[in-house]
Amino acid sequence: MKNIKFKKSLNILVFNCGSSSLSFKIFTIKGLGDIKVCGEGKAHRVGVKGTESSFIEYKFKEGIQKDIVPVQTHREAATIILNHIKNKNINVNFAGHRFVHGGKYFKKAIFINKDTLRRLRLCLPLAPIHNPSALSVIYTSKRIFPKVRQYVTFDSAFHSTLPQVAYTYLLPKNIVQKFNYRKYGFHGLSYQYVSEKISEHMDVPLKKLNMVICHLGTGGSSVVAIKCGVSVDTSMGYSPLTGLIMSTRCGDIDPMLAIYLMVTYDYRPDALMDSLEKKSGLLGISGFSSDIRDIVKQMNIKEKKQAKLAFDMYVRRLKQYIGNYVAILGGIDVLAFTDDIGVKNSLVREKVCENMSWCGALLDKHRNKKVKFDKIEKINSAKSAVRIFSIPTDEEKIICQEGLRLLNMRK
Amino acid sequence: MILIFDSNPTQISWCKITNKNFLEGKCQLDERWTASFEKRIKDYDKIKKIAYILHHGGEYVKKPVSYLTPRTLDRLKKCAKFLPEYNELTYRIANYFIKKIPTALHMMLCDTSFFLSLPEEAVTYAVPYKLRKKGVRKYGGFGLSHYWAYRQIEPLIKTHNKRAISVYLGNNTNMCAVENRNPVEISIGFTPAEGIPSVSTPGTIDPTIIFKLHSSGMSLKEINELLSHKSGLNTLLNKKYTLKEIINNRDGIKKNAAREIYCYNIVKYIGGYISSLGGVEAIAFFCESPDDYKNFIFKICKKLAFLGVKCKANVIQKQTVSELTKRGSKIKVYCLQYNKWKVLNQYINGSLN
Repeated sequence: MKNIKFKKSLNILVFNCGSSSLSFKIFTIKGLGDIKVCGEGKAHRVGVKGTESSFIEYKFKEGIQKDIVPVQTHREAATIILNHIKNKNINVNFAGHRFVHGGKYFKKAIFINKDTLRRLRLCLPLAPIHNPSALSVIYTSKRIFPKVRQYVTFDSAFHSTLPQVAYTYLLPKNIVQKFNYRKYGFHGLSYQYVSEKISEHMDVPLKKLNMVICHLGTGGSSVVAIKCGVSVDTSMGYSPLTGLIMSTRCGDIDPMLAIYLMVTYDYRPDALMDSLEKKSGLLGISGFSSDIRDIVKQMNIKEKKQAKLAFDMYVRRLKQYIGNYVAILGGIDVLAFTDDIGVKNSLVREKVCENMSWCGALLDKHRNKKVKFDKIEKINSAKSAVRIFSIPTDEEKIICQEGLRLLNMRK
Repeated sequence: MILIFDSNPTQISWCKITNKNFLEGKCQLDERWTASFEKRIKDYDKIKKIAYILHHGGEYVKKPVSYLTPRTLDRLKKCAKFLPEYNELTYRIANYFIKKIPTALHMMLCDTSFFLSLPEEAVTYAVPYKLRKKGVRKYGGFGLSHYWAYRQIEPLIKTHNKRAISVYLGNNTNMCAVENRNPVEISIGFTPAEGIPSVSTPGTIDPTIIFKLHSSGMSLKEINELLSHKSGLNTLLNKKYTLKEIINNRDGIKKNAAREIYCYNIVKYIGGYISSLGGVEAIAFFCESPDDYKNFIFKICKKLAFLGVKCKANVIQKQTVSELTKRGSKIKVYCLQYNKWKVLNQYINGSLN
């Protein structure tokens, strides 16, 4: 980004709604190349029932504060956080939000007004876990900071560039139109941040790079194929259920299997859907944990055969997707791993990059093991034609930058 | 004389092989089928072997070729639950002929046995493990043909490690990865609905869609019907075409998104399978009429040029196996002339075992 200085500095508050967390960051912007975080925090275990209680962390220049408070909903979490910011007398100029699924209604970031809100409400059923909580945070922000302009960014928007060959489900036209069935794809903000950051790091324009990026999170995971900075295919589909094997989501399965299970084992549709979303994936296979760290710890124990199986399946599916995308891109320049598992789990990276020389990717095992979690690191060997990176994602920063882009457009 | 039976949901197709003559026919299984069948086959006393194709053998049928006796017929009956539309007919036919012609040798040719040796991580679905124990797994299909295809090109691969991908181009397109005669991947899953989209099937789709359709009022039977016959490439076109017509832009199909999507998916799957194999020596496409598919295969090869696939300018198919790539191509690409009955006959006479 160019170094344009502003006359006055701006503060943008960014909210990022997870399924059981709410994080926020306040960015102080003095120019387009001068963006700093002046405060951040996260509400943990929002609405989670269990022995541990929920808490909110704040990190400001004064220091770190941790409040143990019961937080049942995202609305409550947002109320507490917003009042905390208000009491600190921080001047907030704009507030940005992340919305997972914009469906056919939204293809890019947009300022919030009455009409936007109406369309956001239409999107609620598309991502029943994420969208309603994000909307409640928007309403809360409006209530507590009524004068602050708000905007919303979409995880699905980055994939609005998918070509017909990638987004089409081959179902009868009337059905596709009625339900708007197409591949939407997710983790777009993360992919946007990671692809731009890599291009900057390599000092090669995005237009000249073919990339495959693996966003491996503790909740959802996906892969994207990026050609010239534009998403051309991704592993999640109409919903975030498909694609890779995830912590508790099944990823790709035979679609007929759902029907078979309902007919043969009398599964009720909602119970089966719930099982595919919350009891499948790593948890379903291993039988004891949805956390890949637990699985790695136990997978060499003879009695825990399913742990080994879960890990092998996780890696195999990911390798296959990388292969798929290498083929449709006609070769790649960059292979990147991001988010929690992507950055912190060196064994996953090592296994995924094994026997990948057919597409020119060779991992430097030593470097791979020594990766620092807080910065972009190149981990390919010198002979590798493909650059391999481990890179922490920063969705909040992209939400902030999207806000700046919106402001720029208005001028 | 050899008789082979293949069942599908609407009818039985059969083939009579005498010396080197292949006589094909089809019949409906109505009340009078035995009479009409006897009329066409005539000399029952000359039948030495009768083979039945079993499309889905579950985890029971472990060998591609096995003998059927009144005793082992039970095993066939057990398999009916897997693919009832096919397997029940197969059972009925076998049951009839074992009693009718007890002197002949009765054989069962199983299309899924080859895939019982797939690695566990390739067959398991990431669903609760108790379902795996109940038999929910990837069974694959078309194994007899894929193994045949691999054996055709095996002698042409000169490296010690022989990794190949075989692609069947036809109405139920599917793909298989093989390493040294062992299966590594198959696109067909628990049922043939999974995998590559084809003329009337959508391939792997987001399962959420199934639930949405169901909650909007479609019955499971209707969804089953939808996924088996009413989806696929044809949904993009104004009328029903065959795969051959679609890929050759025939009959005035203008902007052919269907062909592009088909090609895209095949390239995508090939990439995924190369990744699973960790590299590949040869890719074999097989189809009933190679001349109709040749241009399409060249189109696919062009997209694989980045892996060092170099195609010949023109190939005239004269034998079963023809090579499409030049000397020095890093990956060899072959096109095989495929005839189901001839392939099955090789299993029956033992030349493929």
